[in-house]
Amino acid sequence: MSVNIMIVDDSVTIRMMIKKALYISLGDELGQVYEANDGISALAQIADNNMDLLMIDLNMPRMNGVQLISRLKTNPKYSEIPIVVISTEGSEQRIKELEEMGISGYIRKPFRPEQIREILSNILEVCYESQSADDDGCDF
Amino acid sequence: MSLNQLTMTDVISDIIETLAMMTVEPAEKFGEFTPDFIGHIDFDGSVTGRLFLECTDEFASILAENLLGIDIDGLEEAHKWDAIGEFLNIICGNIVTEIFDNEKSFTLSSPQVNFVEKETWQANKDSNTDGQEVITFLADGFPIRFVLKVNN
Repeated sequence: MSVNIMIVDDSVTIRMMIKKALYISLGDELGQVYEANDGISALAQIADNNMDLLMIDLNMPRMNGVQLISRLKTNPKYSEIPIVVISTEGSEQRIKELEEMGISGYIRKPFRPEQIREILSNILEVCYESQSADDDGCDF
Repeated sequence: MSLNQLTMTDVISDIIETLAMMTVEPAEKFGEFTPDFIGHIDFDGSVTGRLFLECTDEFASILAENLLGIDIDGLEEAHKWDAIGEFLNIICGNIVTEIFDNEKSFTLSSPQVNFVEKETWQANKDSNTDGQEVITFLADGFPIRFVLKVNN
């Protein structure tokens, strides 16, 4: 089993930090790591590849994180892909809006690698359980 | 020191220590400090304003090395610019929610980072900063300065 993950963030620094945390957290279970620096680039790659999890920043040029999440959650083809938001925006209003949109997790920057490991483990556990229950869970 | 400055000091110190993995101590005066980089980011929410960061090339190099986990030999100039921008973004996001509003959301602009023109800097370094919150630190011994400007 391997998990394909896309990191959507306009900062190469943050993409590298998350990628490092993913390697530490998932080890051999980590499949392909895709990277995009805005929502438009992310949508193009999501259409061409199988993604098991998306890690999305909010503040990006061209198409921001909220716009991207909205596009994904209203498209039946992609609406079941778990989304973790990683952002500096930590207001209660913003987190509530994102939860209502259907995100699976939220991590506020600055983050520690352990936070990524913990949230991944929670999301993947839910996926495993739903997969074994009706084989209709996450696609990996 | 004002309440806002105390909050800024706490938030920034914590981020420098945990994210950038650098030792940090507040510094009242910089002395003859001329930065190599100046960055800024705008925020818009229950209040609007701009946060500035001034730092040296040495600080930017250590910041990028620590954030990216790469050796200085593999460090490119673009890494430093990106690291400063993201550092500023994270600090601004945390400061505005801590100081102004933890319930409603703020929109942050993309951070802008520029080289400092030494002559222009020297000419303007003593410009009036009334009404702005100014905090200075030494991070791993290198000076950095934050200026928080809130629009009326």
